[in-house]
Amino acid sequence: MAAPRKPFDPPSPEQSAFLERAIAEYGKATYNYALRLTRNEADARDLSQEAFIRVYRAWRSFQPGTSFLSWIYRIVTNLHRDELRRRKGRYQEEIPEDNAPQRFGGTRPLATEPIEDLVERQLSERMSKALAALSLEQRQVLILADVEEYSYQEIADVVGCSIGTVRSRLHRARHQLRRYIESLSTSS
Amino acid sequence: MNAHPNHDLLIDYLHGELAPGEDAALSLHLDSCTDCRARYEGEVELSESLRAYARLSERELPAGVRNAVWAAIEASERRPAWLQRVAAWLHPAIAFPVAAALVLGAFLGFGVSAHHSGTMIDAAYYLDDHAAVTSAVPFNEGNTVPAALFTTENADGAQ
Repeated sequence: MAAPRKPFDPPSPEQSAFLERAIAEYGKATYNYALRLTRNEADARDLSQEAFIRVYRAWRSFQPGTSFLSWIYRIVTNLHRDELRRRKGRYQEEIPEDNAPQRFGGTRPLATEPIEDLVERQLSERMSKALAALSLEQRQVLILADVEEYSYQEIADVVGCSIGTVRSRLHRARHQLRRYIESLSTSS
Repeated sequence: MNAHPNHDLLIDYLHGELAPGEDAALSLHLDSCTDCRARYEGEVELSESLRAYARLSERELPAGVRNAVWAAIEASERRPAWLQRVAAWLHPAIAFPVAAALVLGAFLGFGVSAHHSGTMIDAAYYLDDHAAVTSAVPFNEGNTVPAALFTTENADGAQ
């Protein structure tokens, strides 16, 4: 008589090491991507957490030689989409505009002059408001194209749409973003 | 390239998404056309503002996430075997065909039984009704249907 099959594979040292390395190397990028999608710290934290659990479970499906970041961004994008569907219409807390100063990772050069810091902060506030006015799909494409500097093909793979859709979303997103920033600049 | 490129083309150029020939032609045009160069610089500036905003709003992964991930994994692996089996059964790849089979089975079972019981009720009703109409003495409870009612001669005679 055959031994009963176990429902889940037992964790192996390789699997544990894979997860540890993924969190150490890509945890920050994953969290920041989640944060830009959700605009909410608690949701970004939950999303990152769930994404790494998926990474652990599906670690064998990752193809060596391909971009791990694209893979986990795709996981985060899909999880976020599912979560939005689940909680459709429910209240979602946004990051307050006057949120506490950030802790920086050391790679970002801090502004040396107070006036530069002020200008940067004002620009950032304007950008934050303008980004918030975009649709989630537009924000996703914009972040991946201009912040992550992904190609249209890579964005299409992460988001799960055609290159043509990526192109039109990006064009529209940039057009709207420019309009919002200009209207915020003239009103302030 | 003689015609002035539109904004969409400039955006694709900025992101390195034009075909090599188109890319080279637009590059040459931008060298000679100050208006288009200014529009292109505007697109570059927008991308730089986005990157600056991203750098400024960048945060570290919260300290508790790593431990929470491991805690969730350990909790799921410590679940009793029967619970893991139930969870495995709830996986859509298994649950959907099982649910479909149950629904189909219930539908067919209901259809057969409804059809069967419907026939029995109809037969009893029509038998009683026929007997009540053709009998001279109304039936009391417990009375049996006269055997004559079932003969073809009687039916012919009633017509």
